[in-house]
Amino acid sequence: MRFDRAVKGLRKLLGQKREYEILDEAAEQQGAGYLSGWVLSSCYSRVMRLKDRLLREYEGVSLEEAIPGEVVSSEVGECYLISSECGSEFCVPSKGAREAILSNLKFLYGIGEKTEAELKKRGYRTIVDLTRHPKWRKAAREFLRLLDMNDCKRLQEVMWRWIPKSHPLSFRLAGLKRDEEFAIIDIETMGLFHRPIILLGVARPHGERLRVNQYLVRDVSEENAALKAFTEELEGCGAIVSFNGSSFDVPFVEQRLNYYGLGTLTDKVHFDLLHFVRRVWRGRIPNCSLPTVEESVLGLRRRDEVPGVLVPEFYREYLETGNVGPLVAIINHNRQDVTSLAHLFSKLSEALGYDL
Amino acid sequence: MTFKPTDFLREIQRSPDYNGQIAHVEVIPAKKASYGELEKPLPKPLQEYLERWGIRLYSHQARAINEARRGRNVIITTPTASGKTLCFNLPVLERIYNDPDATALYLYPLKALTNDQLKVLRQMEQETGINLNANVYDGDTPSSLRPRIRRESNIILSNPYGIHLYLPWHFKWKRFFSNLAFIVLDEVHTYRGVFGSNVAMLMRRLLRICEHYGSDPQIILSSATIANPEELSSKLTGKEFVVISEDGAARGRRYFVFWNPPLIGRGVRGSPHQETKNLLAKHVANGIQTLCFTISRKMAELVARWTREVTPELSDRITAYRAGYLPSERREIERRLREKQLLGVASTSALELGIDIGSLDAVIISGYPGTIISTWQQAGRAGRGTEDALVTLVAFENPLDQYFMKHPDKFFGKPHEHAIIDLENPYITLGHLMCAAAELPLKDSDAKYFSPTKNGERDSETFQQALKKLEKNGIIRKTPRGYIYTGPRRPVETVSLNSISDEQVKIVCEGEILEVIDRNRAFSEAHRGAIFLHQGETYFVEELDQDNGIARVRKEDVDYYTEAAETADIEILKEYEGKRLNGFEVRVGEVMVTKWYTKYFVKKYDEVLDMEPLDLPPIEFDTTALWFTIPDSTVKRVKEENLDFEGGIHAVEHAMIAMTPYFAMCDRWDIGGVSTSDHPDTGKPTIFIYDGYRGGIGISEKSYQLFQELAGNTLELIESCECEDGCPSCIYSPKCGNNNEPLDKRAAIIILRTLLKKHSEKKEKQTLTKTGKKQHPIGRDKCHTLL
Repeated sequence: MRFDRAVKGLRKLLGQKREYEILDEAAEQQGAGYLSGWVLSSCYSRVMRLKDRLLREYEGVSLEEAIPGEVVSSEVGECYLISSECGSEFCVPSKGAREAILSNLKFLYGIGEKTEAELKKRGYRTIVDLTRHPKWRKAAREFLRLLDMNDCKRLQEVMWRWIPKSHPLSFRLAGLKRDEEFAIIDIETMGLFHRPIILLGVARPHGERLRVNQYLVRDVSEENAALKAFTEELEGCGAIVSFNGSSFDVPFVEQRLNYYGLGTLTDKVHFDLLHFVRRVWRGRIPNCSLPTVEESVLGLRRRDEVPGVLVPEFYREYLETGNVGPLVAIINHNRQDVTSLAHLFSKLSEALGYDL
Repeated sequence: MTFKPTDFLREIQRSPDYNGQIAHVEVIPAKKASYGELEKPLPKPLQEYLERWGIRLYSHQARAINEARRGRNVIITTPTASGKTLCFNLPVLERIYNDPDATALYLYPLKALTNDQLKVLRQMEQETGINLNANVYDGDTPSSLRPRIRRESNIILSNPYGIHLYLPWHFKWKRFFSNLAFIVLDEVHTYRGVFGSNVAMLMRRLLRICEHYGSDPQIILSSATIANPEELSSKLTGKEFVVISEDGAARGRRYFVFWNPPLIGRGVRGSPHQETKNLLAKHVANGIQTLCFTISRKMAELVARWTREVTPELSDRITAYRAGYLPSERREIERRLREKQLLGVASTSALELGIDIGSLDAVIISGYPGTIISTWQQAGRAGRGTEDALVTLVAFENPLDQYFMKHPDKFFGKPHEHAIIDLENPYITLGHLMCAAAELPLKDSDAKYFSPTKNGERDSETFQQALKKLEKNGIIRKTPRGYIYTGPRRPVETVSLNSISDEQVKIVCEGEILEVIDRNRAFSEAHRGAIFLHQGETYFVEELDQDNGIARVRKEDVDYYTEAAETADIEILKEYEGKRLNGFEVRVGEVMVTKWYTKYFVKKYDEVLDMEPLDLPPIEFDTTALWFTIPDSTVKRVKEENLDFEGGIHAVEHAMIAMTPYFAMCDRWDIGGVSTSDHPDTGKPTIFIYDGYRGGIGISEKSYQLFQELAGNTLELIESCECEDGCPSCIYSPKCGNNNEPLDKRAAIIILRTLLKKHSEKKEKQTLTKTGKKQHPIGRDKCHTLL
């Protein structure tokens, strides 16, 4: 039948190239970028062995046995929520944040280097001072209003007109929020856009602890429910932390929300740690991918790890066989991601010279 | 000084080197303009704009606007330079004037055309004050500008390749799609074959997304004259259209000359290139500003060079034109043309010229460009306003060229060319279903977009089947929301609009990808040693890496070309339909073709310089085909006349393949044939003509539909050829893997006559005589009186 041949042809075409490349050791030295999708051949073999081991270990084991969690229901469907906790290294650099921001007069439209220098000479040292200035009082008051309302999203937009996204002051903005307002996110997907998201991880600092919620898509039909639950949790927070989330996680979630007609993610101030990591450590570490940063900066080496680019294959294996072994690896990977990010956040504060 | 074609032609005929080359002169009379009335006046700014430019609406323009206002979809098929642009620009601008939020999408197959149209729109915007914020949005648009264009433009101009990539991000286009009032497609006759079928699926994906955002845009199509505008518009979009084909524009008188190089031997003709250069030289020497169209860029440059050699005193007034020139170089040529400094320009396709070149006094077309449409598009460049114009078509030694020379009525009569779109080739449709699933969950209700209509009924069973097959292979998965795409790669990257979702080969030059083509094509056009043509430039193929699907080429300026010879085997898989014609059983259906490329020829013009062997594995693919069997009585009759039956069916196969493009707007490279005196599946002598694309592209179906006409024209072609035993102008095929052997012209004629029930009593009406003396249906005398 024509269809069968055509579909086989399509399957072949789809499988013709992976969305990642397997490189030999020498290539690593060139510092292949974060999103180029590569894995070293030695790593690839190890991970395939891991997959086989997991499949053997988890043969006949149910999801609930392997990974305790609860089913979350809503009007769009169900998904599986995995909750865990661990010690938190997350701390917000609040000390002196407000003052540091206010002392940068250039945030007001129209004030450049020269004008700032002049104004400071004349005694206008902070934006608060400028509320007395006849020319700048209006802009200053507007800025203070944003600050007092804690509208960090708008403040970030204003700041990004004058400073690069990786500027320390951009990070300093985080100091205006409280620990509990933060949501550290990371998602796992079936590919680079246009495919389902399979796991959405959110870590919330709570005092000395970090509460991690992972919304798992047990079957592709649960994706919309997981998206909904995830976005609802995010509603309740005031700031987002991610690693490359501004190019990947957030647009990806937006695309999938739109795919299901589920509305949009409300705009929250977003601290994409990749920007700051590059500023602080580029050139001093082999590359700026999260695993490398973890090793070099946090001193963490993961065990039994599945790299991000191979997650889609692991999930597909689970979908096809029903064996939850590969899922376990994905969930652990994701949990470690958000936990590391929390830690990385504090390391960045330190590196940028802020008191915690 | 007005140009008088009749004087010029008389002079040519009187000159000593004239050898009877004029086969026919068609005088197309001048036409007065026929104006139309709008049912309702245009908004003031538009009315004033027309008045300021002295534009009165022609009948077809008024009709298009009236119908568009009624909410109908319209396809306009009037000739070039009939003001088709106003037919869509006026309704669009009127709508935006009345509703400043309304948006319109203009799609062009070529980038140069998008830029031309942008200029026109911006000028109209400036003069009417209607805010359009028109912008081009394609691969060249910087990413920093894209969000703004999506957010603010009322008119976006793009091309199908771009839209294919942008659709998965449709939520970024929400404002634009929600307010979409019009989709305009220009040069719609180019949406045919593989490209057209892919674009047809793309249009359905686009319309589905529009529905998702609550809009229901009207569609306006602009096309050159084709035989099947209803079919094309309906297949391209799935909607119903009003066809507007009556041209109301004023036209000057046109003299269309058919020029055939003279016979210099039995069935052998002189070089058409000599004829072309001499003609161009004569035009230029007489101060006639002439555009000369050639079949290749190389040829354009050669013609320019040779013409300069003939008329050295006018060397600096003759040039070749290439689209690859810098914009400044183009402007220079355009300026020199306007100021009459340039008299002769040699170029390839008319489209490459853009609108700034304008019109000249005369056009010479060297070699039939492959379709009647392209011929008229090129011819359309002759004639300033309502002045007399002269067009000369110089024939090559190709079947269709020669056929038209002898049967000009077949060229000038009613349109015969059908634009073919196939909506049922799963190799094409499944890829787009995949893309659609990645854009929005695929639901049962989407059958209305993706199932073909069979006999007026929607065949949603095929749609359901397709979904199940895709699901079985893990490409999509069923959820309560519909089918969701879960494949391992981004679907839009896997589906290419120019090929069938098949194994693809990248043509790579110095690390950059020039083009991506089907594996089948790669074997015949990009084997080692082949000269590969890309956008008119020649490249030498250094290596064809089959495992990785890469053909490595290097740029090389050569004056020879290569042609791979193929042999094929064919197996019948399924019959769709059948009919009987005078004892011949005719069928259309699915076949499995196995092709071998065993050697290739190195040729210069039409001469074979060399032959090299090829070592390539056979290609196997399933496709559609037309086939017919020859009854025993006919076999007997041929043998009784001591003729070669095998040679006869082989000749019929070649000639029919050469004639198919007359009906089906493809070229002879899109189809293939097999003829055998005993086929295992039919048990009888059979001739197959198959679509050269996996899954078929609709050519076989069309040929089956028009089989009688196709056979009739094929007979005409062979009978009216002056050669003795066959030649490249009738039964020889350039890609025959058997060295054009055996071929028997007379046997072929008997076979076809029997098929069409033309008995021997009618022998006296034959135009072929045994001595090979030429006889034109319209002889020289007739030409004289016309002049």
